[in-house]
Amino acid sequence: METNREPHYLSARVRERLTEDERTAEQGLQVVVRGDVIYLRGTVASEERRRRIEEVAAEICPDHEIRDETTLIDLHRPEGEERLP
Amino acid sequence: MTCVAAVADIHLGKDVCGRFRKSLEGITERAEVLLLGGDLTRHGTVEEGRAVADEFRDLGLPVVAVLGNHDYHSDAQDEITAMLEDAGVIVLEGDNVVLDLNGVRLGIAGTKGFGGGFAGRSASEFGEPEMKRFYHLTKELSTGLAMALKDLDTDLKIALTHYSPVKETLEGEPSEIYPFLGSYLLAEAIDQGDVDLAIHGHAHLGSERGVTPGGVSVRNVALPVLRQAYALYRLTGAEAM
Ligand SMILES: [Fe+2]
Ligand SMILES: [Fe+2]
Repeated sequence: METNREPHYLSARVRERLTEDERTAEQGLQVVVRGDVIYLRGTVASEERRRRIEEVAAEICPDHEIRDETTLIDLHRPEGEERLP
Repeated sequence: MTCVAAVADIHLGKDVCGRFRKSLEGITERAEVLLLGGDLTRHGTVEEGRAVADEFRDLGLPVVAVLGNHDYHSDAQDEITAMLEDAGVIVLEGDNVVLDLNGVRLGIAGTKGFGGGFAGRSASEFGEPEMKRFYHLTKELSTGLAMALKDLDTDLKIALTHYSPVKETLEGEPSEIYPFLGSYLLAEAIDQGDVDLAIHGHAHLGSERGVTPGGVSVRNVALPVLRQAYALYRLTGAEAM
């Protein structure tokens, strides 16, 4: 289906592509469209994955500026533990 | 007392190989078992499955896993399961395992589980064949979990799933997608099973802590939720034994 330029449909389409495109396969990212800017938010595992996300989003929205606000996953060892009855 | 380490949604691929294993250094001093709540891979390919197997082999403690929806994406779930088992990882789907951890018998029952939503707002096996198949699978996997729990007669019991049994641990996700994130049928199975702790993943934007209607603690251990390599839960119920 051709991508509708309405922000509402555009963010939906980008979100779907980020999941379905083999380069990204990311679920659970947030895509927000404000005017000419597309904000990408959520947590990703590596810098390479972040670049791929930007790449896929830019392909669908060549006329938009992509602002990548994703954060990198944190893999530090846990400091504490939770006690459960 | 028994200390359990748990994490889900590590989504391993070539680009992050070895990194997760590094963060597991010293885990044997802190936990007696490691639980993996599915979505171990990104695309569910054999290659990624092999990377996961290497990441978790010979850690020096038992590793028990269920698969997630990503691990099914390339129809290679059986091969991935076989590779993980070759590496010593116990993979559960509608079955259970009993571990003797320093004299405490811990039973773990697991299933990937599936969606459908939560009580009063859930799907039903009605209408189009696709819809019936969808919800039929949820029922089947939840029943599998209930049976696997029923078979356990251990000091402690843990239910391990990928999809969530409750809404509380989805807090942070858009509520419109809750039916894709879990099913109350999993909670019903857990509440019938005299469970001490329920572990799941899948909801990357969710929250860590919740409880079933029957009062069982539920923990969402998706990596983005934890913001650390794994969570540690000390089950003090074992003291009474
Ligand atoms: Fe995931
Ligand atoms: Fe998932």
